[in-house]
Amino acid sequence: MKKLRALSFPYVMWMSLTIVLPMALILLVAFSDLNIFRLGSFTFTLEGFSVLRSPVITTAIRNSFRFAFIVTALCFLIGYPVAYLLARSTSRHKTLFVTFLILPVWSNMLLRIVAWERLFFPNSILNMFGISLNLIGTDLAIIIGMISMYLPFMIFPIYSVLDKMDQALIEAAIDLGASRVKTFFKVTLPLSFGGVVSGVIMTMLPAMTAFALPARLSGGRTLLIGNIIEDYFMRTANFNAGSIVSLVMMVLMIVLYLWILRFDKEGETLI
Amino acid sequence: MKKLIDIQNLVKQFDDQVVLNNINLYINENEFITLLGPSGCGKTTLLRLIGGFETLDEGKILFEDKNIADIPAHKRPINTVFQKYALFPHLNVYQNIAFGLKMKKMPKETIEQEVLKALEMVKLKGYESRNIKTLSGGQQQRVAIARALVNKPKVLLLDEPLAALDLKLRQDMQYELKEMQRALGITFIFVTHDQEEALTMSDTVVVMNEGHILQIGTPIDIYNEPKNRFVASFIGESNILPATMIKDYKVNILNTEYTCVDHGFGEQTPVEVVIRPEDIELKPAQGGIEGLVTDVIFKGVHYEIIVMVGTIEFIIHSTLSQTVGTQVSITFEPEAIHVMRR
Amino acid sequence: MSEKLTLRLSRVGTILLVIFTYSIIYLPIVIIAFLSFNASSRDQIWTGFSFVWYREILNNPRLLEAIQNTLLIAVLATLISTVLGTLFAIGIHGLSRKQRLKIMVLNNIPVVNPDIVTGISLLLVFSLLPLSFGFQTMLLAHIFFCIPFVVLSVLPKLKTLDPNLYDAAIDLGASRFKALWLVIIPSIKVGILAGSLIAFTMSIDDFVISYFTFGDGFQNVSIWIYSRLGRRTFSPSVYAYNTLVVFVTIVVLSLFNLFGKKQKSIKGEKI
Repeated sequence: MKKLRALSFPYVMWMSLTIVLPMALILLVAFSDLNIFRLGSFTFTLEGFSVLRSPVITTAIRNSFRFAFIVTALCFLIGYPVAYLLARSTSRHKTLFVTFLILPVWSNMLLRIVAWERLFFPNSILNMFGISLNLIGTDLAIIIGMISMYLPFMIFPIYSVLDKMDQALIEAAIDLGASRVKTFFKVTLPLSFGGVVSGVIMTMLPAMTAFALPARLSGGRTLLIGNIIEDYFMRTANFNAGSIVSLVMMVLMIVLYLWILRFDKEGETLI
Repeated sequence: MKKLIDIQNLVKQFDDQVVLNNINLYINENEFITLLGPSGCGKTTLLRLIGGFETLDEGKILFEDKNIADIPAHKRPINTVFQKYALFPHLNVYQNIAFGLKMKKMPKETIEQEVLKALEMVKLKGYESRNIKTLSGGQQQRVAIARALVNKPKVLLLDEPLAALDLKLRQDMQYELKEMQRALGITFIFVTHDQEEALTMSDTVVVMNEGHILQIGTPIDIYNEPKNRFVASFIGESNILPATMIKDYKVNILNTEYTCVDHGFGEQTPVEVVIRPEDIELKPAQGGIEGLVTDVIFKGVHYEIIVMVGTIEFIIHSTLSQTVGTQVSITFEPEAIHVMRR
Repeated sequence: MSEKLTLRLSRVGTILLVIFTYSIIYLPIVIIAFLSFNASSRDQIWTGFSFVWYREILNNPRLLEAIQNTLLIAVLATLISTVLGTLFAIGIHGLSRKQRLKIMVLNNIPVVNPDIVTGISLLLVFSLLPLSFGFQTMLLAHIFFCIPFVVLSVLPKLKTLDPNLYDAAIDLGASRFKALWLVIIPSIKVGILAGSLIAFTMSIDDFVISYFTFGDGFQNVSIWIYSRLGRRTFSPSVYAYNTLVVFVTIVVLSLFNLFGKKQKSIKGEKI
């Protein structure tokens, strides 16, 4: 099958065009005054970086990190035990339970956000039961919405690692005198660390870069980095400033990605 | 010898399927006992019951006269060498072996001494900080043995531990395991489907099939006096023939009357006889059981000769060759005939 | 605290977490379904059970067009990315381990990358190329983010193949194409199917990347929703559409599950 390796060459070219080139472009546009629609002469400048000092943007960055951290931590605390229980389950319907965790992806994400928004309004369908949540604009609304969207992304990688784990390793630990609790902390948890890393990143990055979700659930009051980026690229067409803000995200993504690579060189925990 | 483990009327089912049926077996201190049988015979399940990884449905297992049903696996003085070793991939060689001692909260210095001793015993000195994944199959095997033995268990359970090794390495390890067992004085319970392995290493062999124990005995007993057709055919190649026991010490095989050493089968009873291939001597046709040589295969130490007597095929192992197509007589001594109930 | 008590408590806690997980994930979907049957066009009040919004789908030409576009893009992107992704995976499989790991680092970037960064990356590249934003840019974008998932699900299946399989086919007189088509592809079809299913799911649900690559009035359902949020042109028909999609998915996945179970019980015997 070695002779078939040529089939991968066009992919390398395709990826250079769609992954490497844009990264270079973001760098170029961030560090210069180049206008991507009117290519011509340009000069390198760091002036654009002053936007990072504007209070709107620093607040947005702080918000992004804060929500991403809270949501990821909660998703981990909820998701790990759930993934563990699913992986250890001997039920005949185990695969069905897991399948039903993927299913929500088929429902449009924006509509799911809308559904939360409708519930959180003071006047909602819940008034029928005498309840008015009135959460729009609170941090809690954003946190609940994010957990609802991203929790499956935490559970899946952890589940797939735990499910594939050799049961004999658990038995070996017990055989050597470890109690169930000790077996969990000395063997199961360290061996599932790769899945945890993937899960953390698959939850953290979307949470950090969300824009539709915070916009709807905060009534436009809470801005995250995603809202700033959307604004620069889609509304004010200020690609240079947009690229500078995106650069923050890109650097973070690369750092986290390198972290995944330490545990999972071929991305086996990513799907 | 003292009884260490006593298994009484044990029954185990998986989803209404009986995998172990009325097992009775005792295991002595300092014994090398092998559970032998084809895959699916229940031998691994029996081992896992002793180790505490399965719960039994009926009967009991006594360990030093105490029922061990209530002792969880991690508190039993029993350790296991798992089939594919089950070494912890996130720990190195030293940490793997030290695992059990750490669970017992032994002082650090003691752990270090014991681990180094164990490494020396399995001839892996200097491998302490090696990553498990960089070891060969044979080395992983040794780490698995050291990891179990370092805890000084009263019983070591071995679940087909040599199955993944190549022939040469397997033979070396058979010898070494036997040596270790003698030197340490620990009871070994060994599971295998390889009859040769069972015969070479064990003090006692337990032959199992379809959830039953068919025969318990020393390797020599099992080989020479199999209780039934299954044991006879599973332990080495053999000629199994229909026969009639005329009276004590007289048996009719293929219409020829022979003197034998068996008795107590009654008169004119249909039986089966086993004659091992190496116990048969071929002579030029002279009456008795006569047949035609149809095949001769050189096997290194001996020739394997196939003789057809009518539709019945005889296998003979002999150091002397024969010419294909010659008519020969099949002869054997009374001691070579082993009579079994049908 | 005794170990038994700890174990029992943690078990009860975990089961509560499982219930919480499924509730928070499914609540928005249930709300959408609920609202799709609401006779009123206002989401705050329940005025009675009705199928009116299901009928309305056919009477709302812009929504109908968006649905058609979503399906068209999803089907095309799935087909193209499945074919390309499978061929690329076969090529990657033929590479040396070192080269393979390098390619996989690139392959997995779009999987890990936050959608918004992928979106602006493509926006920048497409701005450079002589492409007008619309159907073609959105299709290219969808193919772009679907391929890595196909590669990721095909590659593990290739690894389980006998390395001599392809050579054996050639040895027996098959042409290179026939060896691929008649031997390799059938042996990895489970992976290809799984990959195409993920691709379809990703494409049909996508909002962020489509948002940065749409144009020229070419809308999919997500863009349709986003551009109408909080406006009078937002119609609950889209709830009806979403509920239909979820319903079909539940039926299909449940059937898959029942069908797949039969095969498992055969090889599941181990004593």
